[in-house]
Amino acid sequence: MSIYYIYQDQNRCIGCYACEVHCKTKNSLPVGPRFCRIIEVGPKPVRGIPRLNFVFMPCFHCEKPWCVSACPTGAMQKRAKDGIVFVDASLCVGCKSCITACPWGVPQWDKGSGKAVKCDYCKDRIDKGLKPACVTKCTAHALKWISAEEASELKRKRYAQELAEGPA
Amino acid sequence: MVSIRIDNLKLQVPDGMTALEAARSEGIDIPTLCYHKALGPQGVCRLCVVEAEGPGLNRTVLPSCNLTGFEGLKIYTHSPLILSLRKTIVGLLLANTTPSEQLIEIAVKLGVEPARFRSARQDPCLLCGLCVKVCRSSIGAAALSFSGGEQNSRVVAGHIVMNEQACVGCGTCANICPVQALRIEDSAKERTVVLYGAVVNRLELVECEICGLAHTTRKFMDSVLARLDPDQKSGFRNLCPECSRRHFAEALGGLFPPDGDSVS
Repeated sequence: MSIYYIYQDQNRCIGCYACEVHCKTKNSLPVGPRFCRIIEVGPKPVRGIPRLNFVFMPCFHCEKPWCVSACPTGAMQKRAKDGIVFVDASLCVGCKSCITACPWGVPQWDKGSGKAVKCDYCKDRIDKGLKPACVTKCTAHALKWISAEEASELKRKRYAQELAEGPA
Repeated sequence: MVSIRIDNLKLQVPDGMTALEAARSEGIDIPTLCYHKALGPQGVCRLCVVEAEGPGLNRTVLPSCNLTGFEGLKIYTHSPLILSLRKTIVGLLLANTTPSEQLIEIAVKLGVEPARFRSARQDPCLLCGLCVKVCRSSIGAAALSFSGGEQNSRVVAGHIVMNEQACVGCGTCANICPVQALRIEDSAKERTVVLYGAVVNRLELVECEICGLAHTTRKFMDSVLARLDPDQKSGFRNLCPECSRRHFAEALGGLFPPDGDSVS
């Protein structure tokens, strides 16, 4: 697990896809690869009204990443200082082992360069003290850039609130 | 760190860095066809030649991919001699193959007239060996080799040969080939590996458990699984990347509030 976490408040998310758009713009991605995804789940009836949920799916930057274990060249790496998992493009031979191995379908294929690409939490922005592009441009402030510890705290609080007040 | 000079630009580079990597890090363009950082120097295409001199080294021409920087090294990447040599090298590569788009692009850029010689080969293969090396050292399959290798070695290899049993069908060879002498073609159930325009292997594709998309070969999936730890393997499911994401997002879909009228 990276020391960072992108928390999504699904009650705030309006499914505008600004996170995906800004991610692609910032990372200059061609048609095809998408680092973060909004997955529509539903619609399911809630109190007689159809409701759609938008689930934000970035890379989880696993503690023991499948992609890093599978990579035969060492191109897929976990950054020691903060646990961010990224691809060193110059070392990638394009074998797609990471794409086959990742249980969450995170590594993406860039046909133009013939290399695997993935979410690196915009590590160049992080190193400048900024937040990832998806979080920065989230129109509804549904995404929060927090530490992994804060994430569990936030989730607990929200769960307690829902128990007390009923779901939003 | 060692200090070197590239075209009169003073640089401090880490120990062991090649002249080619150093030049690229400074945005100096040295053409290559057979170089890939993950596979190390090949020294086959010779396009990356530079003039080099330094303590203990008289001014000479060397391939920069295989030239490790040392204290006091000076290289010249675009001297008149180098530009003229590169043109000759491209001319010879053009002469020895049925030129690929990539080679023609380099030829045009360097101002080489094409078709100075009649091509000896009916395919674009430069025999650079990137496919052989990546298959052996990265994938670990060693399905590709040079003809005339092993026993009865010849000095000059004639072509690339495929061992169908060893091939896992990953397609890395086709991806890394600088001139598309190798290609991968997928049909609904089968992947074919095409070398010099002829099918050299057929492999079974596996279908995603959810959507049925034929997304990779069974042999490649097994070889990737073999690299995972036991605990990682236990959680593995045969899903295409798109279904992997959706499947997990739907599991998180439990965040829906319960369907009922208890809350007004």
